[in-house]
Amino acid sequence: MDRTEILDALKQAILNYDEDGARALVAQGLEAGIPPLDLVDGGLSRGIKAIGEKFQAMEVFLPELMLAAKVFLGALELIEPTMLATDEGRPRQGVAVIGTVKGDVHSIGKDLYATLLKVAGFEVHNLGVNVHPGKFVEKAQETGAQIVGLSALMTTTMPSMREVVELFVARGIRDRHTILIGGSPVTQAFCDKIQADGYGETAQDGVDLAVRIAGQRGRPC
Amino acid sequence: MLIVGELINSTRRQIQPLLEARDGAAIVNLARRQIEAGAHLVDVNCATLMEGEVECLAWAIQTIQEACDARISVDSPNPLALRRGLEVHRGKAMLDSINLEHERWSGFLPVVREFRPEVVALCMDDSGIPTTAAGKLALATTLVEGLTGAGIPPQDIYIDPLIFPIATDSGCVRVFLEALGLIKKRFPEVRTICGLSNVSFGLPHRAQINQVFLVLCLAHGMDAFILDPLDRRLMANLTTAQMLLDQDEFCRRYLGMVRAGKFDFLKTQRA
Ligand code: B12
Repeated sequence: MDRTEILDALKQAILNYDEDGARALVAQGLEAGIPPLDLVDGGLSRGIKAIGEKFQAMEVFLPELMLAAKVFLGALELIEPTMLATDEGRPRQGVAVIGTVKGDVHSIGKDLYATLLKVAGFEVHNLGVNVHPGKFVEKAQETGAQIVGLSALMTTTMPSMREVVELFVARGIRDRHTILIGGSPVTQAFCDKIQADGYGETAQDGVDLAVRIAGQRGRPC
Repeated sequence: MLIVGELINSTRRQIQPLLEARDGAAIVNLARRQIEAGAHLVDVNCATLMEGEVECLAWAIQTIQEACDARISVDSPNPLALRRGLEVHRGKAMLDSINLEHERWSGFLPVVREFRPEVVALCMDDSGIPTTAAGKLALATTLVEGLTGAGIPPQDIYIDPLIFPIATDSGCVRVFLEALGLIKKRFPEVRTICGLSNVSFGLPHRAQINQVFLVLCLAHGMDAFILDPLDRRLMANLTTAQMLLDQDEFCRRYLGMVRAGKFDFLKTQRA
């Protein structure tokens, strides 16, 4: 199979809820020298987006969406070590605390972001999903994280991002941590409005931003 | 979950003439439809043909198995008919049924030993059917010990605790379910099975009673049923209950049935 065929088959494996198949294809892709991130963006993510469309069209149902997510994460788990291994000896960038905000259980994009941060050399504390604002504050203080990454996948949970920013302000530690936000409904305009420090459209954008900021050891703008 | 399709039974009015006339096409068709509807085995009972039973049973088994890839539950009170049926059967058969009545037990055990089929074993003996959970468990214990002694592995034994009509004893379902729990606990590897129709005998809207009984049995760990797989509502309830009882990861089977149109009857009902 060539590169395009592997990526298409990966997308199809997500659509078929075929975890073994997805993992085998990932292994094959890595062996063929396809960059790990391309396997995610060009294969797995396309699959989950296609499932999302079918979900919206009521062709697939919630448990199937969850199963597809499980397949995605199962394959990502296999990709992560390769990403880390290929970047051996990189400089240590800093500490990041990330999570999906309160009321929201979407983990895929956030976990991808966690992986890419690790690849870039961050020590990552992944708080999981449905994370209460207080948890972000607590963990950031405990670890001295430069970066706090918030993910929200629903318009209804985006307001919780503002709560997190406000809590950092209320605790008087707003200037010690850089708050980055992301997730498909999030925009730069929203970022500006709630006075977060940065927005990443993709996880990779968010990592580039984090690297730049950690390098400056301060806050942008 | 194991489903045995019950429709090829000579006690049913429509079936006896088909068997007598050796109407192979009709019998095969009925077997096939049950398998397509989700049955894993097809029960064949020719007992009302009396002296014609032995030959008819063997004919029916052969005819069905030539036409489709179905396992048969060979259903007879007559050891001669059973032996003949098991002789012609291809693959692993099920024997329906043995119990602890002296004559039945001693007549069937040699056949069981020889052919090693899966065995449906009823909790009854010469003094009848026990009416307490402990009594049912005691007979189940004797059955399991006797059958494993005859070389049948526990997972090939299907114990039927036997249900009475609720019309005659308002506590019988409670006792039945209690016995089911005791048997499953004592013999985790042994399976349990039951039919559905006895419970509703003597009451109106029998199907309604059978439907709910099925769900109760499932919730108490029943492993197999002898039922009419062409009853779409029954099969839909079975699938739904299995999903609710964590026997259907990510609701795959449920959604598969929906996509295969097996729930379409609900639409016409509601309209
Ligand atoms: C998979 C999925 C689920 C799965 C999640 C499983 C899991 N473990 O994550 C399950 C089945 C659990 C689920 C549940 C629900 N979902 Co949902 N889900 C999706 C779906 C199809 C895909 C999301 C996804 O994983 N995308 C792939 C990843 C890779 O993309 P991403 O998350 O956007 O991440 C990228 C970027 O945004 C960025 N990123 C993400 N986070 C961050 C963070 C930072 C800091 C940075 C820099 C970058 C970044 O990086 C990633 C790639 O580069 C979307 C539809 C869609 N097309 O988006 C709906 C969707 C998000 N869900 C939706 C809904 C409504 C729900 C439910 C309420 C169920 C329902 N009734 O439909 C529940 C909500 C439960 C809850 N309380 O959260 C809606 C949200 C609508 C809205 N209000 O905005 C969507 C949009 C579908 C829709 N159109 O209806 N869902």
